[in-house]
Amino acid sequence: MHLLLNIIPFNGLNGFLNIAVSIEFLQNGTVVALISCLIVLLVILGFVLVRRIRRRKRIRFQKLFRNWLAEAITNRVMAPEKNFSISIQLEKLLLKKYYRLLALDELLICKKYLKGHAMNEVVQLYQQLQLRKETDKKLKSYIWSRVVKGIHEIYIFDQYDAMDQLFAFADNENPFIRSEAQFGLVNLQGFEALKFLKRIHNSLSSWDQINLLHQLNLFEPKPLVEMPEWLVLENESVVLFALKLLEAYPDEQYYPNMITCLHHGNEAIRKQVIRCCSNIAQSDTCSLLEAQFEKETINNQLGVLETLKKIHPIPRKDFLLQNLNHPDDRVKQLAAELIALKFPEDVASMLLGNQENASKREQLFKHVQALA
Amino acid sequence: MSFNWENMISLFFEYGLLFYSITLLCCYIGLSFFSMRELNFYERKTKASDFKILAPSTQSPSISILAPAYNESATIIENIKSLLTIYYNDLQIVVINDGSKDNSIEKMVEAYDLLQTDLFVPALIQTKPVRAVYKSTNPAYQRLLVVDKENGGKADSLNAGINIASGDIIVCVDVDCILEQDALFKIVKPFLENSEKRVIASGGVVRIANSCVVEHGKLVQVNLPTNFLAKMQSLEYIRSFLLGRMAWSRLNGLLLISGAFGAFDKSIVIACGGYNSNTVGEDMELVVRMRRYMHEQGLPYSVVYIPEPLCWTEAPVTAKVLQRQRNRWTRGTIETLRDHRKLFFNPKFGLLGMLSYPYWFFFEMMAAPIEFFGILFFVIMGILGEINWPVFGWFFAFIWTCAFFFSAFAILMEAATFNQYKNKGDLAKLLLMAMIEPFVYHPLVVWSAINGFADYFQDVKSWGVMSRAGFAPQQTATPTLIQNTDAYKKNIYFPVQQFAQVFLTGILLFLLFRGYEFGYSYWKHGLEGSVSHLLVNSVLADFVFLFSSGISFFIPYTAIYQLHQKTADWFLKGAFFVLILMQIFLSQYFLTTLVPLGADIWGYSLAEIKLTVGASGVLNFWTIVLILGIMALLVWVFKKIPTKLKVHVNIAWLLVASCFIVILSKKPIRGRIRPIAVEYNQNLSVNKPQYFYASSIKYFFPKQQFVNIYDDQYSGDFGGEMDSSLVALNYVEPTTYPFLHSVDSSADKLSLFFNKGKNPPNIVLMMVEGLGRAFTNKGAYMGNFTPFLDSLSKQSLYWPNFLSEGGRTFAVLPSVLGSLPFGKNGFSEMGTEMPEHLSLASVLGRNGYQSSFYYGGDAHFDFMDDYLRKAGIGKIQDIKSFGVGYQKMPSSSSGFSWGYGDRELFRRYFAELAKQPAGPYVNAILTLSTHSPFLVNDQQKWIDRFETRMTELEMNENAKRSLRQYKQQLASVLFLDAALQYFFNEYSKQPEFANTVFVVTGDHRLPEIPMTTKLDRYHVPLIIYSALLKRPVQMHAISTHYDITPSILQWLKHSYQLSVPATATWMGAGLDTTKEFNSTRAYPLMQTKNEVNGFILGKLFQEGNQVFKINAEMNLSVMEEPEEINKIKAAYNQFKTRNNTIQKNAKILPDSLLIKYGRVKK
Repeated sequence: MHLLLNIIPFNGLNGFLNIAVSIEFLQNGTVVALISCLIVLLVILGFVLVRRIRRRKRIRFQKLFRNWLAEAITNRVMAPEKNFSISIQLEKLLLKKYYRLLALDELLICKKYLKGHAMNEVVQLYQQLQLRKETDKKLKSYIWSRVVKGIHEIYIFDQYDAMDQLFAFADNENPFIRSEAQFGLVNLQGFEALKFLKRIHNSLSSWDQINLLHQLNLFEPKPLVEMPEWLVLENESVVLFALKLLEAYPDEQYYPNMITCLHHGNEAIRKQVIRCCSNIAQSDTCSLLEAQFEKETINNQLGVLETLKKIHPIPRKDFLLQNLNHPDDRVKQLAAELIALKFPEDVASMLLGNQENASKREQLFKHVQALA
Repeated sequence: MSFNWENMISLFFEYGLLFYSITLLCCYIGLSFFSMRELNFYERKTKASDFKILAPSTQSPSISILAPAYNESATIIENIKSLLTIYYNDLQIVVINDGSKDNSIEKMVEAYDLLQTDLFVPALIQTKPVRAVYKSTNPAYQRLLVVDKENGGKADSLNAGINIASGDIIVCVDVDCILEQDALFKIVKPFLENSEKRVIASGGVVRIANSCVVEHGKLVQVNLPTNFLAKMQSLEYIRSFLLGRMAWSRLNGLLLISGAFGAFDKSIVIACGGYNSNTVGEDMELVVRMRRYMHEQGLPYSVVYIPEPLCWTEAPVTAKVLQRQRNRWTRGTIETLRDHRKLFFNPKFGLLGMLSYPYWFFFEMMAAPIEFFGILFFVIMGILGEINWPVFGWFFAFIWTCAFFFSAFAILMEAATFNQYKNKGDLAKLLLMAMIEPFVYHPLVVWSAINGFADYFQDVKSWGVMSRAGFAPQQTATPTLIQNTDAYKKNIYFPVQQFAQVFLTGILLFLLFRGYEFGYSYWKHGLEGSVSHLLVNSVLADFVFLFSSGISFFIPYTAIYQLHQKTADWFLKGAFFVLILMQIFLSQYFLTTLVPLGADIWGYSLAEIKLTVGASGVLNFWTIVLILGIMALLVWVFKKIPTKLKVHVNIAWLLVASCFIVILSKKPIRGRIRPIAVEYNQNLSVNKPQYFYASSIKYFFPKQQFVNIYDDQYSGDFGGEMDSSLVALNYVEPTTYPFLHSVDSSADKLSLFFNKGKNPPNIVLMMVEGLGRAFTNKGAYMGNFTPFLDSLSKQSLYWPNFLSEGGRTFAVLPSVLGSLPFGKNGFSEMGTEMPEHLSLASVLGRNGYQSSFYYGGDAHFDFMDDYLRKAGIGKIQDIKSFGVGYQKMPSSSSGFSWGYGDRELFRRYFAELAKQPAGPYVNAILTLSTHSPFLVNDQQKWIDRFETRMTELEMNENAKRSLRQYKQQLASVLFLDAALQYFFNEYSKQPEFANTVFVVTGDHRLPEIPMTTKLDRYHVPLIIYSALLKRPVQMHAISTHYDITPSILQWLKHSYQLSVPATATWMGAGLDTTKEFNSTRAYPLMQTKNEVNGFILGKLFQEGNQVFKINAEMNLSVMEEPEEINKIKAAYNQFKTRNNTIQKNAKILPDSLLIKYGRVKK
């Protein structure tokens, strides 16, 4: 080490290492590590015990609550003018926060799985038990996961009066909060809630978009009057979502707006436009796609060919023949499939006529015949 | 500062390993912190998520599941069924049959109504040829596609799957893994969540499915494995996935997605070129390449890990299979890091290059070799006694505790999050595994990794046979071991392996005979002193010798092997055969003589060797039969045993590498051998063949001695300026006659003690064979077995701390009579060409003395007769002159006898004395009885006397028992003592008795009883008895044989005005008559004819490289003061330089002295 010191003046390092090999340091270090191990072991033990206790508590409470809930809902159905009667035992338990939260969770589960009138009773119960206070507390929390839970409760329990709050959360910096808020808005208002799209600056992830689309499926489709505005927004994820909406709910009036996005700088948007074309194709769609083809990435080129397969207009022969010589075999394959689909009589001549890449063309020919 | 390899290596290991450990610890702490946060984040994130909406959504990405299969016919149908049950909107399942040799394809065709199609397979990535593509005619299986291709390995199969996959995301699975129901959703969701960075790969936790309950391809109950190894792996997986990968996922530094279950962005995979089929770690290599690609494209991306158990796989349950797996993982890691070494600390690649890659390099790949060599270093240091055990103990405790902490923390994470192991006691079992893992499982993993390294460097590309019990009937894969070149096998692989087999056989045999040596020693002499010290020294010495010999044989063996294998085989076995034989013979020599055989054998003529061996009685018919039998046995062993030793080639390489390392570090290892205080143990610990070899080399190729007066250690001239407390000799012409000095009156110490007689007294020099102080006179540590000499010493001038100059008889005559330096192999060894010199006999002869020499054996032995003639002895009476009427000593079993025993010798002496003309005489007598084989006449009488003597000495039974091992030797001593008594009794009847001075001393201490110290062999009594003595005196100061002649001559000069030289080449300065213990002289000592290997300077004693201090009891303690060590070393070197001038026919003193005081030439 002294030799090293002559080269590199790591006096501090030398001092540290010398301390590190001293018996006192090792003894202390061992003791510290041992105590840490003991703490971990105790925590594990504590965890296991607490979880076991909590599980028992939860099971007991669930049993009690569910029994009471079933009876209460039945009674309310029979006599809707009366409020829920809560047993003294339950009332006592509900004074404690832990049990109120458990009750909230139980109601959440009920709300998700019950239908019809019973579902409304759950909402009533939620209000009667003043569990809205717990939800509000969550909405004010600094911990994002609690806010998300609060938002979840808002829309599960149909708390329409909190719509403004949800709108405010829809563009939150935290992706999970805004995701849940957006979902909540759509859950409560359906297509009408989509007006938040104009206001948000943060991006919508693909997951969010799938969620929203899935939720919108539960509602009666409504005209997407703001579509032209959405398609020109700076927020590219909104543009993408709008196009997905258009794909899911095709409306030909927005075809021109959609087509302008074919030249968008974002590859994913262009890809989505290409997908949309399969649902909202017009006479010029084919030529537009063919023209766009050369400028596109390989993934979008494949998308173009897939779309061409689905739409009515027929692509040009030379376009397809040209793509039989494409360096990417997938393009060749799709081109061959297109030829088989659009020009069934000319398959053989188109595929086998040219000796260029003869063996590949033969494979393609067999491929299209197999598909047929 | 001088550069010292030994220090550098030691520093590297000590501080380097420490620094590495601390850094690793800090990394683990950091990873634990990040993983905790990531787990917490994931849990909160997924609470409100409903993955299942992905299944029906048309917006969900299309997925192709790729499942390569090789010889999976036993379970393939069930496995595909489980994949087909996955509910997802746009899902394709591609099963790739990788050239299976079983009936996998046939089974699939039948089970799923498959039909061969002509579907086009895009050649996006190069693969082995696809034989056929199958699609099902059953609409229920329309998502299934089966690709049948030529065998090319897993990576190649996956590439084939990628080519045909239609999905945007490819999910690669092992076909025999069990997926959780929502595994697909969870692993795909990350691709959709992140809007800022593109997720290019996603992986899930793989858990151990052993002992879990699986029904219809679904996991229904999770159990902790019952198999020990599988249980260990469960812990390992929990730790590595929950702590390691989650942390790296959070940092976006993950380099590995498990090959068992991982999802990838297909377009990126294709852009990167797919899987690399030239590596066994294709899963890691792909991820690293994809990351690198994204960096090079400047695109933001991430690789994500899902901490939830998504995939369950079967872990190896046997050590063999586990080792193969870990071997492959190591090779995969090395290959990947090698191929992407450009990333190493490259800032262009951000965290990937600056953190992930270096971490994987140092703490994943290099961990095993660093740990392995660290352990090796530790073992070596332990053997060398360099370990500070308390520090080590705490260090080990610290490391173990930290390791346990991390495992316990991982278990806590598991319990707090997914809590898969819900059975009672599962967590406790995992914690127990964590405790014992460092001792049991971890070494296996490290060793597997080391083998991985070794296989990597040998270019092994095999996956190995990964036998699995399966969740179905057992399946085995055909090994596809590919060794790279035949030439490698032929020229390197086989010779190395065969060498190792023979080498190990040789080691085993060597250790066997070494063990016999130790066992016999223990049985015969017991073991005094520190046994551990003895063992450590022996192990070190043998270890160095064997491995050095190993490399000496390996190199020529390998060379000869290239030419002719059989010859090489004979050479190698022959070399080890000779080595083992040498060990047998040399250890047997040691067990007989108690001293190792060195190069002194070269100083004996063949006749002398024959006489010695014959007289010892060891060589007889049965001995010869035994020797031949041993040789035959060795031949048989070397023929049969090596082939039976299954030595893995990695072990063989390790042995060869060890040989190289040992030969490079021979000196430092030998430097660690600390001398053993007990002389016998020291000799026992010595490796006999190595000792013989080294001393023979020194004998035939002696080092030139020169004194560097500019050396820091140079302390001035020997005998002059060194120490004022020492007696200095005044050298008159040091350049011409290095030993010639003036002799002043200070050499006369005897005048004070003698009354002056009328005439010059007779001098009788009684040199007793083997008479050591160990058993002579009062204070002898073995007991006083010379009662007569003891009584005589009380009436004499007595030096109890007297030293002979030689360890053997060869040195006594030149030392006593001539006070002569040794020359190369003893003065007498020069035979008739020894330099002309002065001696007691020659000087006294010039003063009218007659001289004779009496000896019961052959005086030509050790060239005694040649010396005596050169010394000027008038008459030599030896065995040849005895005639009839005298009884020889009993013959040994071989029929040899040394000659005439002491009593007979004295009888002969008196017979000749009667014939001696009047006038002063100087007679020298050398006895013989106390010499191996210690056979005296009336042997049993003296053995009985021995028993009686022990009782007289009031020895307890234990002491008696231990001495009975040497009853023959001590019985001969008693015989000698009685013979001396007879001698003196008879002499007292002679008229000249009153004017005779008797000088009685031992030529050396007999070596057949183990020595206690290195000085013991030289420690003899000196008794000067005469009726002329004024009074008896005991002088405890050290003197040697060298001092006898100078003292006698000076005394005779001053008392009787004899003419003696004023300058002489006497080595001694005269007897030191100080009563208290003291030492003021410098004396060389020569143990055998091999070399001058001892030196005394004052109270310092050096033998070899070791320096000791002599105390009043003539015991030795190690001297550590550098100044003192330098002093004696300088003096010793100077003496050796001078001593080398004593050669055949050299002139050691001027002719003028010779003419005046030299022998009268006849």
